[in-house]
Amino acid sequence: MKKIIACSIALVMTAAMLSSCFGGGGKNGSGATAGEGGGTSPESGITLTIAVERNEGFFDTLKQKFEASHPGVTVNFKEYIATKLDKGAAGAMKQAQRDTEKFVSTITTELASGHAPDLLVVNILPYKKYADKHLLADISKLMADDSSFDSSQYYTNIFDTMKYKGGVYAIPTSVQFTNLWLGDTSLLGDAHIDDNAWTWQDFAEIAKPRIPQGGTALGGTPKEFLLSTMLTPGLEQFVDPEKKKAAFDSPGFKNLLTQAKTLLDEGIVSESFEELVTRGKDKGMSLFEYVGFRYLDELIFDPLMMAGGKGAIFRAPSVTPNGGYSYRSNLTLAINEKSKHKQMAWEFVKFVLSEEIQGFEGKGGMRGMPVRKATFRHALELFKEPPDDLKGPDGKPIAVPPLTPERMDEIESYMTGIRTMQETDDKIFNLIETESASFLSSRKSVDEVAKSIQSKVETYLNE
Amino acid sequence: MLKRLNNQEGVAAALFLAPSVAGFALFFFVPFLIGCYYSLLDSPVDGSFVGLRNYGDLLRNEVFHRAAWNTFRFTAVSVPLNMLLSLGLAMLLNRNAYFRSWLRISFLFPLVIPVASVVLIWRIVFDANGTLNGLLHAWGWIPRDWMESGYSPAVVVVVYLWKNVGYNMVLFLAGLQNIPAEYYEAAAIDGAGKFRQWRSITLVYLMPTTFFVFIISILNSFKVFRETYLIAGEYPHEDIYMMQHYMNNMFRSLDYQKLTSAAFLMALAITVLVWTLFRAERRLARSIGG
Repeated sequence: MKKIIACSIALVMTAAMLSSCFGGGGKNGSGATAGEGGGTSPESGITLTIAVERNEGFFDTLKQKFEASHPGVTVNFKEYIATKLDKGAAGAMKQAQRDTEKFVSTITTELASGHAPDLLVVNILPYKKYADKHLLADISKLMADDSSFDSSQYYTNIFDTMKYKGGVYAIPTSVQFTNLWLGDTSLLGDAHIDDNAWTWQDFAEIAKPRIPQGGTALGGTPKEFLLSTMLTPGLEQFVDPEKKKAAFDSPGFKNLLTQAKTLLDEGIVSESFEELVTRGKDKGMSLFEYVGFRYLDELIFDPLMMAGGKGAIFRAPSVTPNGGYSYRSNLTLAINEKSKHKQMAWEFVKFVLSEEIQGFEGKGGMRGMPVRKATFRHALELFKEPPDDLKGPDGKPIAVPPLTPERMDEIESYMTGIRTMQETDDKIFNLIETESASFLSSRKSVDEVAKSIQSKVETYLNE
Repeated sequence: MLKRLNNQEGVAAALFLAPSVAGFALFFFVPFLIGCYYSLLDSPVDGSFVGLRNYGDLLRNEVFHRAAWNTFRFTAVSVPLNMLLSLGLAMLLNRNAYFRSWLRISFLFPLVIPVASVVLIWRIVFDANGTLNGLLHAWGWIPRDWMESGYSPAVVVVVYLWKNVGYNMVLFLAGLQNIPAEYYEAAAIDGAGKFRQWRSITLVYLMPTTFFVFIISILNSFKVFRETYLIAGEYPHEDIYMMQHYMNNMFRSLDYQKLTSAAFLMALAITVLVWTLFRAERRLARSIGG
């Protein structure tokens, strides 16, 4: 049980991880029939192939809907890792890592040989490295050239997070927040938190005197991912992928390493939380909880479910004050520059961004919040009527206050406040985590570790 | 008549050689030429001809410099060491030492043990919390992280020596046993001392073996990557980041231009080196009248 929790938390946390929904569709899209179409439309006979690591039920729906609205086009989701991941099995984490590595290397090889699918789901792919090699289409150009596409209908700040070398080579189609915490205000008491500007130092100072006996300041973050958490967002402060420079030997990063060590050494962040969860005693035992808010109802109801309605959403402390929110997209699409059906691939991206698909949230649909403004607002409107059957974790019904316009604006401000996407290239995070371990366990000095990280990341960037 | 026979022999020889030539061409030579061609394009897919630009980029790349320098330095240090050690061992075992045959076999063990299992042992020995540091600590010395410090090249040299000394030793032994004992007897009668015998007979008649061992050692020194990679991963300490790390990582990150041009440059360097050595050997052989 402990392992299951550790694994699932870990999976959500790492920068470039598997999509967390393993339970999803098991049907293999690659086996789908490649019907050669009727030949009534000019697009007849096109087969659009989309590379995915693992299939999801939602992809079948996407395929059906797109084929229905585009006669003559066959959509083929090509699954690269066909084995099911048994989350409970020993070594599931390792297995997931191996699968990801295999997926990345296969796609890389296919792209280089010119035989890659037309579209790629790049949630966990180092798409910037592909863009460096001119293997991905610049979607911002396709957007600008298409008069039927109006980018002002979208939270363009989200698309802006993808800007790279003057283009946009991958498009996020949904949002899951990665730096929002749920705080227990009954434990936090009178603490003054300016969550737009607070640093990890502030966090340590606020949390230390308030940690409940036997509890922790931050639940839901395994120790080994603490640094990744602290760098999401913030990694961009130390890495410039465009100029191929890193600054991990800077005082700023050494400071961060020292802070991470302090947090662990003083027990402010401890591993014991997952044990508490296992024993069912986690309630009221952590000041903050890392929550990967994925659906609108979570943003609205989760604070109500915590500590008898005393929960509140906070932006995680950060090395970049006022750096906005960071997110990841569980369906980030990129178009193969060498695809024969580039235009149709763009049509598909447009289709995923359309009202029909954006509004298809929840079970069996988009795993994340829509990036389309009207769709988001519409979904928000639906929650105006408070549900009367909401139950807390203890099974007791919870009274839901009506959603005021102010609260609605506040919730939308999370979307408009997005500034960074979580890095999809996990290599840098991996290097940081591996190297920093010896400092966190007091085997090496901060200078040695910072120097080593700097040298390795620069090597990686400059190769 | 004679000519016809020659022709027939030629055909027979060609027939016998064909499978190996075909295999070599299919798996080495043709891919190498194709790689060479790709190194002149700007992209592996629909690339256009860019001449030597990839080579220019490569030669300006700092990481490539480091990889090339580390590889050169490693070869320059480890190959002479390897040869001295294996020659020394061979001469010790060429005498009537106790347990001689067992010792000889034991030196060959590193060759037959699978690399992966050996690497595990090396990791345990050289880990920051490993055996070596445990011993050092017990003796009151300061432990260090061997693979993550300036000492890492030394570790790689040790691993290389452990792996290769036995093989070279066997080659030297064979060479030593091929020198007729009469030469030594004759020299002894003429009043030559042990050192003089060693210098004028052993070394001279060992020259062809030495040359062969030298080339094999150089080639094997390029193979140490496997052990380094398995011990320290794809991004080891900057002092042991070798050419093969560079190429391996280039392959994984899709940079076929840099990969093929680096491979071609390395092949060129090795060819030039071996060619020079062969010429030197020929001249040497002529000068000593062998």
